[in-house]
Amino acid sequence: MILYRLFRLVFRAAMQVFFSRIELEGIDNVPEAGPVLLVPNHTNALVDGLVVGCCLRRPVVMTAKTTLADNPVLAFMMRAANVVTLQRREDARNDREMAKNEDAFGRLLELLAAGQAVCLFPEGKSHSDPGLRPFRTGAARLAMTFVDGEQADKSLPIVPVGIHYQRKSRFRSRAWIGFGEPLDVRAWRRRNPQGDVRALTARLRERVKALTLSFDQRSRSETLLAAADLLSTGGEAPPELGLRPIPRVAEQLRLVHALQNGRARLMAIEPQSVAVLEQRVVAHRALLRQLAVAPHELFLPMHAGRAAFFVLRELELVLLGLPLALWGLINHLLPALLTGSLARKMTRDEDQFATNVIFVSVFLFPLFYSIQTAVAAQFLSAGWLLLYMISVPYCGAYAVSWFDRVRGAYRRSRTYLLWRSRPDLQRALAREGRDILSEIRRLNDLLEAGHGSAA
Amino acid sequence: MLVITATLYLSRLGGMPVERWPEIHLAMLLVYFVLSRWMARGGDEPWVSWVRAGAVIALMFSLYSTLGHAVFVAIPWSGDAALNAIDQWLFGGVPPALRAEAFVTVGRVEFFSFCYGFFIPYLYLSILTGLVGRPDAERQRFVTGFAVLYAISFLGYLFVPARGPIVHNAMEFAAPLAGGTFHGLVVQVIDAAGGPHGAFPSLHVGASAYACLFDLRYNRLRGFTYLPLVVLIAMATVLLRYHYVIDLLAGLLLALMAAVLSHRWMARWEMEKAEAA
Repeated sequence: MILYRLFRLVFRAAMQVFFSRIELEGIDNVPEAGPVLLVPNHTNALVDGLVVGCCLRRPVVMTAKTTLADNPVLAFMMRAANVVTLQRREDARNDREMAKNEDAFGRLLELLAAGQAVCLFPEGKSHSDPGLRPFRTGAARLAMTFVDGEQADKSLPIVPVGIHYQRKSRFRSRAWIGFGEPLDVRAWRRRNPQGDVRALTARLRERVKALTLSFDQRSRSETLLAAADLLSTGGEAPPELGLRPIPRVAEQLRLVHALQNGRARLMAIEPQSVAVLEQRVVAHRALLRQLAVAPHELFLPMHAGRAAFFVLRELELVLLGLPLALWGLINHLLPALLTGSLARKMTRDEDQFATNVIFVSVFLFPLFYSIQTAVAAQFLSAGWLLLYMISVPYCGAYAVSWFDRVRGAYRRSRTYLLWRSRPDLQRALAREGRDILSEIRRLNDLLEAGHGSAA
Repeated sequence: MLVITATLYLSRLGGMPVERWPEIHLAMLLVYFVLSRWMARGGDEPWVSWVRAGAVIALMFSLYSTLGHAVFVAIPWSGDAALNAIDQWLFGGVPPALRAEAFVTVGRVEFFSFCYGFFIPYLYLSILTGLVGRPDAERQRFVTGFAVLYAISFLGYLFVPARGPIVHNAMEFAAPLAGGTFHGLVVQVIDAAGGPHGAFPSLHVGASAYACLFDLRYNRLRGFTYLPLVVLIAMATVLLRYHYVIDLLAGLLLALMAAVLSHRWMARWEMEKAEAA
């Protein structure tokens, strides 16, 4: 348990550096005690498990494929963190290896009986598909065995979990994790006496799908995400950098879901309007991409006073933060470069990159800290050494946020200058943006009037 | 304002040579009262929050300078001995300002004078960024916190008048502090404001800690940018002999209180306003 907590602390720190923000929703849906089965979607390899484990206060027993234990370091960590390994059919060399799964299932049942939280990925394999993959029946089989078995008096809630990454392999992108309403397996059995493992699996997939973005085509996902981005601007000026309200990933997800539902229903009423609108959204987004302008920057006010205040506020942070950021950079450049390079070499698929960065960094950074401290101890007195040891992680974390802010300020300044030099272009693009918003609202009103609202 | 004005008039009745200070504070009280009535009539008009912010900041600065002069002629006691005794009790007999003498060098005095002096631009920039370019609710929280912090601190200035170790322990230091340009500048500015005064609680620590706490909540990067400076300002106040450590602790406590109270009060006020609407 101590090792689990230590790992959680270290990985939580690593993830807070990798992701600029991890939004949490529905945490109250996870019971604080007693058996619970968590079933998340699986798009970012080991990071998915880390996100679930680090967001919950109660310990979570993770499951992983047996092949991960081939790596001796991972095998040690998995043993220490009480991870239960499962044999996947495609990895098994013979029936004897598959039979080992029965032992693993038995272990999971024991853990549930002891009131633990177990996390199982029903998709079985991490992927980069635009939609959810078919669910395997393991989670449902485990749940039904639990409620039908010796633990007949105990209930077992299954909590569907949705994990969404804005750009899963991009450093300093944002992530969202949502815990859906628990499904009580015993109650479900009572309501569906004929329901079998497949029916429960289908129900779970439905619940997880409602919490994630799932598209049948990648191109459609891009169109809907572009429309949601535009909708989230509300046709208004962007918020000041670093100040609230920060646009939330949850809001974007809600909008995409609403658009997805609305689109499905509108295709039956006004397919032509939907097709034209989608073309306009795609063309508008392509133009913005070409100009490297974010959708909310379309409505950037061209007010000289506001611009002057922006310059003052950002310059204050750029100049005063520079020494701290540089100190952080100097002390972390080598391990950061090495982490990036090793992670890139180890990555064969997009969904492995974040995992590789996080796992390499939790070894490399402490190693470099130890070496740097040992070297510093040769030259510094105890007081200065203590100051050095405090300053290194502080300035490292500071540098990450500082570079984010400088990037944001640079981007906004560039857009401001672009609009300043080409006001007609801003007017035209903003007008088209507002027209698209009006058309989305018109179609929504149409649904609201006759067929129930979409957004 | 009411407590300060009443205390000054009572001092005059008690025979203290308070000159025109009671009338000056009464005038400020009246102006503020009229402004309050005017703002109450304005309701939710956008200008009200700006006038409120301006009035609080103006009053804060005015009182800081008037109290520096008025308190020492109006209050017949000094808090220095008690504050020094608390510091001695806290630090095993020798007050930290005297202990710090062992670490004093010209370079360190100069460095800490720079940090001490940087409080002024930090305060002004914090006020500017706390008021401009942010949602009204946050602006109101910022102003309310500052008002709470300064109002309680001024009561400390009034009833525990103290000039700090630089005056109280002057004979115990081996030598006066020697620095360079920055130290000279700090000494000059303090002399111009009537010499060291208002030691308890330390507003250098209180105001900088409050601004930092506010930023850590609403503009995190700015909060982390200034956090090391806030620590250095606190160290500078002791090393440069302007404050006892108990002043710093009181200032820090007040900053925390102001941050928590302003957040709670404004949240409740906003909720009541939303319910009424």
